[in-house]
Amino acid sequence: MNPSAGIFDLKYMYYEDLNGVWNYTPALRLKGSPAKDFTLQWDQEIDAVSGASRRLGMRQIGSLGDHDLLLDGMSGASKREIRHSESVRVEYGKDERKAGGSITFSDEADYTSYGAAFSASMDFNRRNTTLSSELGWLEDDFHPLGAFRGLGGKKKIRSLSLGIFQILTRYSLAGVTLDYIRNDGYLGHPYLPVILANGALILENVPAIRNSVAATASWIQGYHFAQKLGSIHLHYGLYADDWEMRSQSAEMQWYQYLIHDFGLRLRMRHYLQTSAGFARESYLGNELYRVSDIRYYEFRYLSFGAKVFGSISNALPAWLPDRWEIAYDRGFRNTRGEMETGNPTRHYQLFSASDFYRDGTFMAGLGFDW
Amino acid sequence: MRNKTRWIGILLSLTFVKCANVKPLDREILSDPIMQIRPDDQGQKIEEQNRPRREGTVGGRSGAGGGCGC
Repeated sequence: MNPSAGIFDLKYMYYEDLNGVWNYTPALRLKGSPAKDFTLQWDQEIDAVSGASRRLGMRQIGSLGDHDLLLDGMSGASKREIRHSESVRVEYGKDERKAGGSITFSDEADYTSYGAAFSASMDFNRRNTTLSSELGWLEDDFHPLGAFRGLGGKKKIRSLSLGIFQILTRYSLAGVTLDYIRNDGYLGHPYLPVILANGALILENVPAIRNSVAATASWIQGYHFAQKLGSIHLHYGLYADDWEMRSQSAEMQWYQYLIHDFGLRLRMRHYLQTSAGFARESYLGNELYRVSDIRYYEFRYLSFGAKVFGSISNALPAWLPDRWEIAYDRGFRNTRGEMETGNPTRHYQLFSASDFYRDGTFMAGLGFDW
Repeated sequence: MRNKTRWIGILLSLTFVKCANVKPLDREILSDPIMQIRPDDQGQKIEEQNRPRREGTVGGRSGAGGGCGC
């Protein structure tokens, strides 16, 4: 594939899960070189998401009026929200050094976020080794609507990321990244009230500070099979925070060119997390911290995915895309539903108790080079 | 303990020196998109935006984890 001066990529993602949550995300990326040694990149996303307001048996919670009575408890967004997100990045790179900065902004009816990030990297050892760093900052404002109006609050996120990547051979490279993230402010949301042992509802309450560290190790091994390039990607991540949550993730991706630039990617990811220290199966109401959000409890998640991709002949008209891809991933979590148990739902898993949570993600993309 | 740490550091340094033997002209394979650490950066960014809706831990390759009400 020949390098290009710029790209224009379109992506479309559709997600849905067994809780009835859906999410459409069309996205575009424009990247080019406006001047020597400079790169400019613009990312634009639009999210249409079903949201997650707990209906409490009432209609029309949130700013939008509709007749959706389904209980939906996966995410904390207000129901049926449209979110737009923009990000602009400028990078300067000359010889072995690169430096860049980006600004981001996203907005939906009940949530606004803006921030910036600065990055720098340096190559040495004849560019066989790369050291990279990034400092990020986000200011979020959660302002619920409807029945939850007045709750919410502001959140600050600070992050520092360090990475080292090493070319090992003509066919392999490896790297390690370390991240530190600090969250301050309103870190929960009011949309999933906690159901006490006596059946009463009480608002969720989580700590106002969260310090997280994460490390990821990556290995990429290329090879030739029948004169076609293929590669195996291995990624292993560890995470820990002061909410006593720990997680491990292991991902393997296999890429293989089949005919010319047409290729296949298969991937598998396993994710395991522990509970937050304050997450319990039952609350009396006198606890300082309390949640009913399944994301703060222990679970395993396994996903499998496949993608086909390729490039389109240059012999065709220039207005046609140069690249395309289609992918689908299916995920499974070892948490059962809570309906049909005779008890109030505790973690808002709004499907049959005899079933396990699962979700699916479809993604398609077209790319234009110039 | 200090000697052990010193030897580990020397061995790691030798490993990097030994590995750093790929000339720029020999990196054609490494420049292929399927050999990148993030072959589909835009797609991964969208997926990582979706991940906090499902997982309770943030960070690592997914970045700060903020920016949405999910």
